[in-house]
Amino acid sequence: MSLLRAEWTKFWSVRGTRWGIILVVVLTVGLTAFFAAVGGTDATEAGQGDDDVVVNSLRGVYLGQLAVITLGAVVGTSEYATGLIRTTFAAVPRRRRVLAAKAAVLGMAMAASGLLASFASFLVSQPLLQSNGYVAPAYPPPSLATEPVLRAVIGTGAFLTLLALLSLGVGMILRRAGAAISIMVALTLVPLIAAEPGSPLMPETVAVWVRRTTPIAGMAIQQTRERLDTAIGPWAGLAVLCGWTVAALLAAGWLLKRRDA
Amino acid sequence: MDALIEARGLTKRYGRTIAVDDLSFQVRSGEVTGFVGPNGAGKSTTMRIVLGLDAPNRGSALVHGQPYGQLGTPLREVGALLDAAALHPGRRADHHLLWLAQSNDLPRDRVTEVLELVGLSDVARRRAGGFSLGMRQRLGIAAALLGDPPILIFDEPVNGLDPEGVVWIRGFLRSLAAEGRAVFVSSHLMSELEDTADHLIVIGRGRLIADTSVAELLRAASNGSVTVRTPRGPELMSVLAGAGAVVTSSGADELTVTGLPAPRVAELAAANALPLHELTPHRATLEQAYLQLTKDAVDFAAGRTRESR
Repeated sequence: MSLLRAEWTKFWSVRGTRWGIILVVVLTVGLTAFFAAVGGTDATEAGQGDDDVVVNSLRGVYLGQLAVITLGAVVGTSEYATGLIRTTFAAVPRRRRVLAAKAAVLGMAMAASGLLASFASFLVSQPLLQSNGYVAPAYPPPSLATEPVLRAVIGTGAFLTLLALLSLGVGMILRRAGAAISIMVALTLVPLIAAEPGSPLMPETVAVWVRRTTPIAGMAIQQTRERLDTAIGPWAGLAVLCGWTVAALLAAGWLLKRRDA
Repeated sequence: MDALIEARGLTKRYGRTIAVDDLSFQVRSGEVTGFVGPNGAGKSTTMRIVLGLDAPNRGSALVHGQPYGQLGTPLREVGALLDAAALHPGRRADHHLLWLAQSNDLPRDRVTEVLELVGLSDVARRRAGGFSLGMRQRLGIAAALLGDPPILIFDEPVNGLDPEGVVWIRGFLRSLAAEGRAVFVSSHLMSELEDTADHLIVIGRGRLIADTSVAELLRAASNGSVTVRTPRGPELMSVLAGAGAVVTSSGADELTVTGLPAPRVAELAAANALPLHELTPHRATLEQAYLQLTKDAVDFAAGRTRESR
């Protein structure tokens, strides 16, 4: 408990993390609103369309995750950059507890801002989507009171939180912010773009597996309807990201114990 | 006097280089123990091992009789300043101390107290990034004192300080030892420790060169030579030579005498009614003693390296 308080103080007493938390919300909501404002509906007059209007109202995570990755990596590496990590481990020789406390604090902060970002994105984008033709009968307005919609919105907060923790783990493994952020971009943004449905960079059979196995599988938690390009179910996708996160944190903990600080 | 830090056969390798080589020593309470050696001699590595930050390849370091990693609230046992620059530049001084205090369940009041103690109360709410090196050193010392520990470890605390800061640190180290604490302080300059340390642990290339009190080291280095000034040099010279001393003329009416203690020289001069204008037992400076020691160690180490090939 005392260690949790210490890491909490550390986290909030630096301007960078405070800005990071705010940036996650601003970027996510901002990009969602932008996509919702410029995109037109694919609904036909017969009342057909295959867009997932809930996914469309959470699109901003494309950009928000960059802030999340950076925040996680910085929390994981900044003490190595300054040399402060030695002060920390001299004060608390049980290093894996330090990692656990860091993860808990980052997780709590990220869950709060992730949920704020996802709910705000959803609420801000709904009227914009409707004014762009996402209306009944093809697109009845989604309600937060229904299970898949609520799951998608809360799940987006969980996706961002897990991504932050994965980035923390990678940061503690690599101990350099630049390296950690590069790896994280290679694991998320790159597959997101290179393996998107219809990507010219790889055959669709390969792309599907990339979408199933890389950390971006976690974005499947936003799906509320089955589409032709659906690679993985919502919960299975989130579980894949969970696996990555747990593996990274375990590896970081193992290395912490074995390496000189 | 208890041995509060005890190193036994510490050995640390980084790849093919040996940073610390079979090093054993003790640091006792109520003393300032100087840890001296040229840059790269292994001082910082040794301190990191004592603090459980680096793992030795062989040997062990005990603090209060147990490995550092087993201390429940280490800050109450050991306060350390390894690197004054190890601060987050964006974090306020008081917040830096606050998280440290929280991590070891120390009362929040201690933050205010130690800031007062090192004279940083006025800048407590300023970001550490704007601090001068001297202020960072003070903040680092404040952090070391948070838990009011009986053992203090400072790595090169004088490095880069202005003269005023140097004087302050020296006095501060003395007062900490006077309170009965064990103070373990490293420096690559012997002169920095001349008036501060009681005991010296001298290392070179990771090996122990000397483990001795300051007084003993000075005595050993001065060879017991005596400088004598007299208007009747040649006569005194033959008297002293007759008593078994080696006498050289080192000035117009000045002699340098080795092999006889100063009181004996005075007695012989008096017995022969030879007037003395000056009689000075030669006192080597700590720096000279140190250079002599490390010179031997460098030669020794060089010989050993050849041997091992």
